[in-house]
Amino acid sequence: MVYRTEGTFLLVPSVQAEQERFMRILGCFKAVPAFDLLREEDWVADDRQRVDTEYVKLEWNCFDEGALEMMRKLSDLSEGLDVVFELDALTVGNKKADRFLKLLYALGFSHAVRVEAEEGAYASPEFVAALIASYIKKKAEEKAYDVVVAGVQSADGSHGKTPYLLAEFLKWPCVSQVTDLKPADDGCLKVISQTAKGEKEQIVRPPCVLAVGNAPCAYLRVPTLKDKMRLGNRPIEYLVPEALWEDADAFRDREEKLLALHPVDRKRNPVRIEGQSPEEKAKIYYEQYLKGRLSKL
Amino acid sequence: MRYHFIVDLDSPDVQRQMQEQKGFAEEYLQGMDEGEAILLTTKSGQISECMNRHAKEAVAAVVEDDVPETLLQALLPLICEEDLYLFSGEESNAALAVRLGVRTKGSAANGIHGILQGADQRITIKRMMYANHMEAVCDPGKPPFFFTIARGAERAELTEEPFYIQRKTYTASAAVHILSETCRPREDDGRLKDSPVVVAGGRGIGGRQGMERLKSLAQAMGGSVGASRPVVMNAWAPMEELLGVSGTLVQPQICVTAGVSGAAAFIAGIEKSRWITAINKDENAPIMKMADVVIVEEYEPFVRALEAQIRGES
Repeated sequence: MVYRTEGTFLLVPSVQAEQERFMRILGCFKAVPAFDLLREEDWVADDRQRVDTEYVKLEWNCFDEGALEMMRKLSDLSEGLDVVFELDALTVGNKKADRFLKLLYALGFSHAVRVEAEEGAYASPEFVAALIASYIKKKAEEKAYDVVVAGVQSADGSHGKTPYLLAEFLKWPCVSQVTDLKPADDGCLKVISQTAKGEKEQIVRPPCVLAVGNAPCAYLRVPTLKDKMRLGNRPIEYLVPEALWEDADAFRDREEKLLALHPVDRKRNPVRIEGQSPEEKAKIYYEQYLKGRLSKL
Repeated sequence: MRYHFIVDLDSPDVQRQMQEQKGFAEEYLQGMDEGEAILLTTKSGQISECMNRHAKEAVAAVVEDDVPETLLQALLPLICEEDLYLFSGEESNAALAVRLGVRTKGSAANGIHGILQGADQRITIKRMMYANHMEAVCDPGKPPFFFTIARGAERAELTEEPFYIQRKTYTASAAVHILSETCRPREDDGRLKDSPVVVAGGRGIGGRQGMERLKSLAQAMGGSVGASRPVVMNAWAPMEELLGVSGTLVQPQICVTAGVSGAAAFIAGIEKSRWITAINKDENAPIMKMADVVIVEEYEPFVRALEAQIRGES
């Protein structure tokens, strides 16, 4: 937690009022291909054991989207409090991810960073987490982050590792399956998470990593056109991995190596119910297919 | 290499978790020696109350609290560097597996649904990738291994005997970052998971009203209602009703989907259903190939007519 004094001494009535506490939060996200747009025949692995998704539009990874919206809501809740949540965003990927960063600028994020990685989608979680940890450490003197927020898993690799690796690399504690965040007193956060035992509400003292799970109302809000014009074109900070992390082979022996990739056939042999109207179809379906099965339950 | 189960004895679902661990070991770890299980608990008395076991011997690791940082402190001294540690598929275990992997300089993988043992003692794992569209076969790295098994694994019967507790450890809280904590038991009663009939709504139902319509149908059929991710993300249904790879996995006798496109991550949640019906106005939606019966129709008039049929009969 950093205390910063701002404003003019002429207008500030008391020392108490002129102090605003800043909590700096870094949201890490991934833009992933919209896999559900691929046709059945597109699910073929190439000789590098990859599926070609180059032509598929990118979308927010769903858990990351929930995490970023949670950060915005947290910032909304700070109005009237003596804490200001400064929100930054970072992604590892190619230039296609820039439109997501611009949108976050339009939503009021302070700083947007992209670590250039043409093959971002295939980067190992160890590699991605090490880059993010290195960015946070290198940035610490200029801007010390209090909290890192990220989704528990991305759709493409489905490793479910990055926020936990990040916590270990930073030596920070981590709360997983976070579903909500609220401001709390004394530079802390109220963190709500789902566990096997129930819903936990914890007052957490930063620094910490928060891994966001199934958050309700998880779609990111849409910025106004005015905010897009006013804020959306601010410069993105571009970095290359080499600038952050010299020892790219540090985790190679501990990384998972993909040996083979197979499409999954979930097809059944469907019977199509024909009829002239919904009512007729419902009658046929009930009489010929459903009724007998329901009676056996 | 030996394998060890790591068990959260405090979990309300501990019996199922142990059954899934045992089922997985019987299927994929034959020929590998069984090591002692590690039983994590905040309540010492819980150990003697556990009358079913899936491993013969165990270490009881009593912890002051169940915060991951404390659990990691408890587990680390119990890890053997050549061995394999198997967690159940609960989400919180993914964090423990990954973080243990880093701390021991070993390897971790989450959601595995198979292990292949090579002649040279090397192992490969199977897990899903690409939003559940593809199955990956991977070399997991180097031991010690920490794996969480995919939820919904085949279960095996437990032995009706208590564990033979070899030793007991105690770990004080390492949760210095937690100033206070309350835990409210889950609101969902687990009915969806065990329901014989599930009616599931997708984005195509258009809103909360659509979910109410499906709830009414589910009641008429004596079942429960579930939802796809877009439905819960739009807050048309509560998160407890989410079906799919990151929600509830169901295996009812009858599953009826309405307005569901058939995203692979959703299908993973219902694919063990005995009999699936899909209602969708788009005959080319992926779900229409994954069902046993399909109805190409607007869902609303069809569901209304079907409910009338069922209620008329009852």
